[in-house]
Amino acid sequence: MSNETFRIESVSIEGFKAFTSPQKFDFEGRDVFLFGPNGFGKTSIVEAIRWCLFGLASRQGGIVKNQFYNGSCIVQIALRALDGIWTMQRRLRVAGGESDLTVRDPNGTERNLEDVFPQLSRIGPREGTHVIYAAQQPSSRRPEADITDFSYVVYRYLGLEEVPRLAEVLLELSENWTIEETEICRSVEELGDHFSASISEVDKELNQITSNPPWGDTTTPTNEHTREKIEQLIDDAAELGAPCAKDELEGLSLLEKLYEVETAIRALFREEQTDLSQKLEKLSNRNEDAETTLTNAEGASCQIEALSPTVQELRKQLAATLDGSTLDQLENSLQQTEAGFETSQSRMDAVQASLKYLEMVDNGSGTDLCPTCDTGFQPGELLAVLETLSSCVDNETEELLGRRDVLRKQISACKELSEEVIAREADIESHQEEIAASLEHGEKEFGLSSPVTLASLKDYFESVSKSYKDLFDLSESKTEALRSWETRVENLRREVMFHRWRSRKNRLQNLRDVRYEDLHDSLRDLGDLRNVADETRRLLNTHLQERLQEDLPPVGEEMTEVYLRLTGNPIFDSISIRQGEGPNGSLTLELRVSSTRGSGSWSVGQGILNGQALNAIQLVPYFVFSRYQDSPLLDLLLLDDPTQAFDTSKIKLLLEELSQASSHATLFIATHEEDRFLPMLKDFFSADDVKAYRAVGIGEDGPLFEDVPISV
Amino acid sequence: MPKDESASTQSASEQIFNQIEQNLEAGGVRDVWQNLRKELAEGGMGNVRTYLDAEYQRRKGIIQAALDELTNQLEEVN
Repeated sequence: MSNETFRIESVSIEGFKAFTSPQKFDFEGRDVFLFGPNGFGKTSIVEAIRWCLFGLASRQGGIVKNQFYNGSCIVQIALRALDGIWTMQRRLRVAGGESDLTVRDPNGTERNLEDVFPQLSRIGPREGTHVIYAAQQPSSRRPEADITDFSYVVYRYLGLEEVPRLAEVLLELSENWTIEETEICRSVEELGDHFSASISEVDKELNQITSNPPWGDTTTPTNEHTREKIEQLIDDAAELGAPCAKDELEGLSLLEKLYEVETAIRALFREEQTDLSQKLEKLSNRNEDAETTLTNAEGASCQIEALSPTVQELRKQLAATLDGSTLDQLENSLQQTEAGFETSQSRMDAVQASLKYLEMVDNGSGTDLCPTCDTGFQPGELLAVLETLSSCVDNETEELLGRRDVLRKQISACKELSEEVIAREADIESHQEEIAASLEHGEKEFGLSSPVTLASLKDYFESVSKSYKDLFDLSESKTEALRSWETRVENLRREVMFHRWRSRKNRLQNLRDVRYEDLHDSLRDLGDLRNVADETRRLLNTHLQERLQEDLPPVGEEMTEVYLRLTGNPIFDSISIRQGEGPNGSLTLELRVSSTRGSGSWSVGQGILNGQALNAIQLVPYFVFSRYQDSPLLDLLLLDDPTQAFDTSKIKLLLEELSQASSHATLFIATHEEDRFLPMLKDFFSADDVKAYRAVGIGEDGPLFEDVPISV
Repeated sequence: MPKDESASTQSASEQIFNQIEQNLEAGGVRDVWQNLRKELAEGGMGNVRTYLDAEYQRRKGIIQAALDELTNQLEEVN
């Protein structure tokens, strides 16, 4: 019986794997041997204990639950300690999911696992040092517990465990810091870029000003000089009459002062410009009116001048056409001529009728009687007279006809000329009226003294035009003056901006050159801490390697001794520990086998060992190192079928090792080789220290066990 | 290896730590290392982690504060 703090008093199992009903096993703090064929429930008990201690690494809890049991899956281990019975209960509720573990002290008070069994808490479900779990599984696979933690077991045995753990902590921190540092560096670089961009932007503004400097060819003004120029501007504006009191500008920034002055100057000029504009508009209207009036009068005068010779010429032509007569006389003559023409026409008709009669009545005798008075006459003679008369009348008619036509033309021409003269004279009269109206307009509207003449009207127009031009020039000069003021203000504003941009650039450069560099120093401090961690880790690994070169060979020898006792392997008869490097640079230790007959060594996992040797070598670390643990609270050697492929002779060797281990550990051994274990138990264990059970089948409540007496 | 020798092997870590300390020149690295050992002795690996993390956070805090201040000043200037 060992003297460790906790031993297993009992195990209660409910709804776990093969257990369909609650069962309790009273182990009474003794070492336990479970015998029975495979499949009779031995492993269920071993796994129940392991599950209670560690739970499952990554699998869902539902895998351990008996599918035919309606209640929660519960495994409770009662641990006997000096102060009474402690309990560890792991429960997987009906709903499944993660299991929970409850630890209670002898008073029934719930306690934290970390406080009571810190090592169990640290080991977790995949590790084991004080507790070794060797699962029943194919011999080609490594058990999941003991060898996994092999490096730590060795380090702890050598008193070096703080060194690799410190190195691991430093590595983990360093890796985390590196990630954060990269992010911080990126932020710092981005800030640096912002500074550069800001300075570049300021340079652009400064270049824009200095490429066309508002101070001209003079030297670059100082801020004070610009200030003085602005003060001078304010004085000049006040002198000009701009409504900006100097004392009201006190406390304002230079740009604000410039704005106020500019506003005041513009107000002043706006007032003047308004007045000038009104005057200009008035004068413009007057000028336009005068110009129109003058133009009309002069136009009419020109028209009269142009018409007068025409009228004279027309009159002259009329006089020539009348030829000393008057139109009435000509018309009388025409009437007379036309009357004479009608008379002549009547005569001609009478002559013609007479002639026609004579021709008709002429009988050729030479004498005819007058039909009226029967007086005899000579037709020939009469005819001759009539022909003479006809000739005369005809001539007269011709003459009258010619005269009539001449008169008609003359009269027509005279009338036309007369009408033309009348029309032109009417035009002249109209123009004269226009001139009179213009002159009257000049008198009334322009106030010209009577009598108004074209000359006085012209003088007035020229006078108004000159006034208008003078006023316009004045307005232009005022506009130019305002522009000049505005340019002066704008230049000063640009000077102020120049000083501001330059000041901003100085501040930015100062921040970048000093503060930003300080930031870089701080960044270096941060990197230094990581470098310390890296450098320290490197030193730790270097010294650890040096130390292991001295310490590992004796450990290998001791493991070889145990290994050979268990296996007596004639081929691979030596065990050594080799240093290796983990994926992240950490030092790892690897268990290797070799032969004294040749060189070279092999990893345990390379498949060169037979099942017996492999099973044995999994137990070696525990047998070697567990003896040197410092008073473990719970030292449990939990083995499930550890002797698969063992020779009978090796069973005895294993029992010998187990007997030594029982001096400090609670043994819990499950095996189907009752016939090989049971006869020898009495040789290595006291009957008071051991309880043995035999699995006899699977009943309604689960596995059935019976006590097995140990013959003494 | 007898069990009572574990006490002497327990000091193997200390021996390595002492060797490292002797090799470190006076300065920042040595200061950090000594603080680290002190924390290890007083509270174990958890204290070491806490100390180093606090020291890292302190230095990172300085940078972050400077970064924030400088960012604000840059915005102020702009």
